[in-house]
Amino acid sequence: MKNKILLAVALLFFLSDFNAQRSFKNTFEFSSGFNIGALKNLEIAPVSKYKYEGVVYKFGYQRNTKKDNLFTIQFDYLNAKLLSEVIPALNLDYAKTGMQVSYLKKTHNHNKSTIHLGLQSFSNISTYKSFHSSNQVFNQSFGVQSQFSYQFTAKHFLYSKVTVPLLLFRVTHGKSGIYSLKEYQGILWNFNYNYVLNDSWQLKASYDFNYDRLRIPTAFREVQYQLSFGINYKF
Amino acid sequence: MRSLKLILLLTLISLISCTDFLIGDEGKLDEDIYLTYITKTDLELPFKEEYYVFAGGRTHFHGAHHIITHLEGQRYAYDFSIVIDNRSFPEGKDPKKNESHYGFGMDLIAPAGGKVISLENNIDDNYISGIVNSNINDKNIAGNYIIIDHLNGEYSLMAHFKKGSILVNVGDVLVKGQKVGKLGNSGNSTGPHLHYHLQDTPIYLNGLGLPAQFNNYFANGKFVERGEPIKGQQVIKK
Repeated sequence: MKNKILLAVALLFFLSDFNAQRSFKNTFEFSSGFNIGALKNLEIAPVSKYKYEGVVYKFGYQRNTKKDNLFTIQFDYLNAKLLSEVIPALNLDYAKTGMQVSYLKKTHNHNKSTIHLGLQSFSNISTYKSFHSSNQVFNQSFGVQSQFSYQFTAKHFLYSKVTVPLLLFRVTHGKSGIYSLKEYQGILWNFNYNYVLNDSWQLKASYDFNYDRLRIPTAFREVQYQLSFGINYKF
Repeated sequence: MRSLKLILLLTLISLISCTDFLIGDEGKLDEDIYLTYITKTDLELPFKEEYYVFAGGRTHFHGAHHIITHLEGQRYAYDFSIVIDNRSFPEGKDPKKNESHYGFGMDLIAPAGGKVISLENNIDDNYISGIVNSNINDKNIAGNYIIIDHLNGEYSLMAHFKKGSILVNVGDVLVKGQKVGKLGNSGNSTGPHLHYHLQDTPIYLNGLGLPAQFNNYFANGKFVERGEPIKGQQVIKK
């Protein structure tokens, strides 16, 4: 038994050393965290502000190209209860599932800092559920994204990513439309700290701030603050 | 490093503390209306027979129009039709035919006095009950309708009348209880019924929807001096 354990440990060291010689191009990410949010959707209810809290799960994949450009796809899921202090009778269950796809080109690389610029697509479905009925709202936005990364030491990285959506396609139960910056404004900011465990594994702590505002003519506004922790696997 | 942490912490605190600013004040008036609005017009139910309330009430469950699908004027709308023994048509009749339904063609009356300011009377009833005709869109979802100006900032909209059944004209001054037309199945309607709502503008389906409180009716046999019919109730004028 002892020999088997020693053999397994030796194999792990060998594999880890073998991996260290390779250039990793792919990363799987998983994280989970806490979301604090507020929402107004006057199509759904005559409530000026719902508050909500819930757990958010994120799962993603990133590919570094030969030129060090970044292709990223990320899924996230949030489940919460919308609470109104003013009209509790109109509280609702709320779920939001999103998918972000982005392609960023490396535009700057100096010493320990790197800047990427590119385009992002963000799709999400929000579900408002009450009793036996539910209503879905589908949003598809396209925007520009910028990522700044900085390596403090061999084990410590910081990333800051800002996305500004420029165009929104929205489908609700009764109507659909395309909205430009005149009607729709939003911003997504992600701030990320990564700690390198070894060549394959990293721990990460992440903060996200999301804001959406739309006038169609009924008002929709949503703000989210998310703090999450997770792990990255490079291969 | 310490200053960076401080900047981050301050950024987080400032972002969280400005939630109210980011969400804004829009909707406060909607909340006030929900909580405190008292109907100015002296309304009575717009029919003489006993009707079933398919939609009406202050929760998402009771008020099907709470979740706005087409313009916000209909936030507090009611859907009424005739139901006997839990059926809206007699056993053995074809439910796909409008004429099979108890309510189809029944007289509708003005819920209060006022002036007719717009109407539509020439839209076909849906050919198959349960399926909306293909030519129905955002501009004609109410089907055949009338809007009554109650001359106090409140406007009644009655919708889905039977084609050609409306008896009044734009400019007519109505008295409460006057016959205005017959119940139908025109517009965005999945079965013969009356859609009724109160709003704060004369614009078709637009403006803020207002709670409509009716006077002097029976709900499930119990007298209501002033109230709002709720989904599932059988209601009839006193």
